[in-house]
Amino acid sequence: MTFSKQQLERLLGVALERGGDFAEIYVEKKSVNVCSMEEKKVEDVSSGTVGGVGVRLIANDQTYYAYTSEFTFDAVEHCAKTVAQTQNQETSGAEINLNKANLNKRPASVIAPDKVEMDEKINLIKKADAYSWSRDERIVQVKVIYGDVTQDVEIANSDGIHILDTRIRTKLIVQIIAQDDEGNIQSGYDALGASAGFEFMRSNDPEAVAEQAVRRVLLTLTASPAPAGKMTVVMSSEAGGTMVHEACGHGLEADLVEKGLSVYGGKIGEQVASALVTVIDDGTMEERYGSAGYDDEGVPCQKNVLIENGILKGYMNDRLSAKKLGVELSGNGRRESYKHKPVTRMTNTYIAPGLHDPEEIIKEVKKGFFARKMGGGQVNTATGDFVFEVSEGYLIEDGKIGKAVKGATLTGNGPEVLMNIDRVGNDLGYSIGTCGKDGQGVPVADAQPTIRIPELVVGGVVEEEE
Amino acid sequence: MLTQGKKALALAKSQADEAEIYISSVRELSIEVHDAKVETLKEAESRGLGVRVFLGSNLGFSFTSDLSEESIERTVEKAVKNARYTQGDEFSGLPDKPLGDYPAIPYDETIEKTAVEEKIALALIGEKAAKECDKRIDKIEACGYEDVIATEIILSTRDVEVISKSSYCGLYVSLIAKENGDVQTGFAMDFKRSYNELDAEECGRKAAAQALDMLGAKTISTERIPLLFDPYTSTNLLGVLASSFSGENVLKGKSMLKDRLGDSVMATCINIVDDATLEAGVMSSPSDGEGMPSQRTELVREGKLETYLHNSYTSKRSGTVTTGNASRAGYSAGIGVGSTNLYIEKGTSSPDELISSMERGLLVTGLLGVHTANPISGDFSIGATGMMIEDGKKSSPVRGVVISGNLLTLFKEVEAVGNDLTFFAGKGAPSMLTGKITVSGN
Repeated sequence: MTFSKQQLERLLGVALERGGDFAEIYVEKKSVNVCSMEEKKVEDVSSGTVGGVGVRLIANDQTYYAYTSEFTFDAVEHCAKTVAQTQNQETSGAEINLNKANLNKRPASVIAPDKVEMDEKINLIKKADAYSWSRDERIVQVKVIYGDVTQDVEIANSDGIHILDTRIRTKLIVQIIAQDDEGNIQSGYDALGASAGFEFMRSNDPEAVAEQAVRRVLLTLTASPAPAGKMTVVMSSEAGGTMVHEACGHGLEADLVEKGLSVYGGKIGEQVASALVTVIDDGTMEERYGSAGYDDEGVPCQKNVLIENGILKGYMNDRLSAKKLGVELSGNGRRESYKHKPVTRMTNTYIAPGLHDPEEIIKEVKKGFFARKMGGGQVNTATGDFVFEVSEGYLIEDGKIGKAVKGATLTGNGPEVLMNIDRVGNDLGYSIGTCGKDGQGVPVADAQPTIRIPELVVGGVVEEEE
Repeated sequence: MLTQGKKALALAKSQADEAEIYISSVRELSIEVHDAKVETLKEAESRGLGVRVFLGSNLGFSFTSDLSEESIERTVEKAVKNARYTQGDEFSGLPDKPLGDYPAIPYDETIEKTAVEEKIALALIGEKAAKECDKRIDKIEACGYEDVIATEIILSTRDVEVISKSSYCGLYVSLIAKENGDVQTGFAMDFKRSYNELDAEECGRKAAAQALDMLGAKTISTERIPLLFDPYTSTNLLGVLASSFSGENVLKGKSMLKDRLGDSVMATCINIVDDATLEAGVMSSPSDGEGMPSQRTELVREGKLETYLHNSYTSKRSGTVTTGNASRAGYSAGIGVGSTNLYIEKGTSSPDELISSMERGLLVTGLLGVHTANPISGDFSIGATGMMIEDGKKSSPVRGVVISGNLLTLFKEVEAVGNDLTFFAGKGAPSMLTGKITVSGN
């Protein structure tokens, strides 16, 4: 612990000395280790520590924030004074008592990646790299990155909450570029990551990650251009949950709802999705990339059912948006670092598995599009309009998965798509990522079963007419 | 800070063959306003140090935000340890102190000298201007002001010694317009090097106009038609292209412009320049991330690819000289190659003249999912919104369509560029009129 309980109480007192409703100190220390290979060489090995302290004051629903990268009492006190100066009430000084302490430490079973020698991490990337190059002569570049982060946070606030939380994440990424004789060039990507110590990397095979990336790039290299137009789309559970995250999840964030910026605002208790659809955000799932003990406001992470059998049950929130909406805290106040104020964020978000057999779902489609893996996407949360790239897609012909196609994009409207889903498989597949919002990136996981959407616009290429 | 840097350099020099210290100190102010009130006010300062060392040709890197003596010692040790694992080549190493002078990039003091209260007032003007534009402006989603003042120091055992101070400021407005149940969004931003150049009213009005124009937008049926990209969406496309100018990506086979030096890769009306010496450029700086002098570099001249962007390593390996484009994303990042102020030069036609030259096409004013375009193959398939153009006139707004093709093909088929070059932070472009491109809709 950087500061004693008494020091934290004094700092919170300083922040509130000219008025305000809530004050908070956020102390973050982060240790990072990265190694990467490209051009068959270990190109980058870097490690470092970053950290600082953020002081937040909320007064009349307005937020004042100051931070410093110095861990001295004086530097933090200066921040507390900076936020206090925005107020001009005469107060007799706030009585702060940090009595709701929960000073958690990391679980004993975790192998701290900080303590693992760099040699072992480099062996991981060398394995994935050598495997990738050995697979096909058309491969022209391989990049493998290993990274681990150990983030220690301490949060104390004027409600008396005082917690410690350690988040450890490890990640392995493989990016491959392949080129054919005609000069066509394509890239393939796969990633593995968890909220877990180095034991996670030891129990996983780096070659398996590489194989996924290789398979994808070689497939895309020989694929035909995607067709364009409206069609039935089946999204595999392997596609990962980008769709539920982008097309639905962001609209269920209370800060957007509270400002009237979400299509789901004011619809609690109403049907907002097909009765087959249940959407859950759960920050407590073991090892999942978006998990933590507490969120970045000291609220325990929990499982939140957002949509149940098509009915909207609730939103994810942070302290400020929960207060404005008058609801219980959900444990979704997250931030990128001590430099940022917390905002409502997802953790691990998924559509719950349904009853349909994934193979049967495809068999029922005469002509359509099968998205096996999704790439990136973007959504306009106000309208619900979204666009996603498909990094591995196929045509469905007579109930069978047909030829691979490249360059497809799915575009539609989130709420409409959710309403139209007519099959939900009994499987579930995850993907990991970094979600960006308000200029802050946080680690998340997303998941979904195999689902079918009767009609969706597939963006592809129309050949020029002669 | 300079004293700490020099101490760190001496320490690193005693443990490695070559060393470089980078220190940055960043002051940041951000103001978000909502409903004519301050919603969030953030003021802060942070520092950090990055150490690059070479053992022979092998590079080690480490960083810290703690500038205490003890922490700097640990950081140097880690960098030296990390260098034992990497593998360099004959081109690796630190560049020598440059022979020539650094370009003079005056530091603009207007940002530092303007009071926070005045900056809040400016953000409020932007919000008000947007809201009062039209009754159909339903909500201001986000409106804010931000500025950054940074001091950077680069010191190396090759006698590089750079101390530079820079700043920029900006405004942004995003909002929602509503009519008969239809919801549309608008966004505008204005980033400048000088505080006095910000125009909050214009920024608010632009965001409002974009949303209002889009009310009642519908999908069109799938067809191949010419597209007119406005400066914002043209800049988005240039953003996808930018990584292909990197000499590093070219060497690694990750550029669509690889092996194309001297070729006509784009239409003859396209000229692309990277210029870190632009007086008003948000990304202007006297030196690059390795302490080499900044310069103006013509990348594409009348459609012909003239050069790539280089740092000292990529230039040596490519048998050429550095263009002063060593990039550095803060103290915790190593050296790469990056653009500075990258832009497409303006042409002669006004945007209205371009519109009236079109029989039937789409004016593209918004792109969704631009980052999903493949920066290596150039293949893209991205969401678009805009306005149909029929018989040389704007007709009805369009949403929910996807435009697909290949970026290099698109740039090859540009028929005209407008005289309306506009910068969006570090990148800028004028309107661009292209040949027929697939628009997927119903």
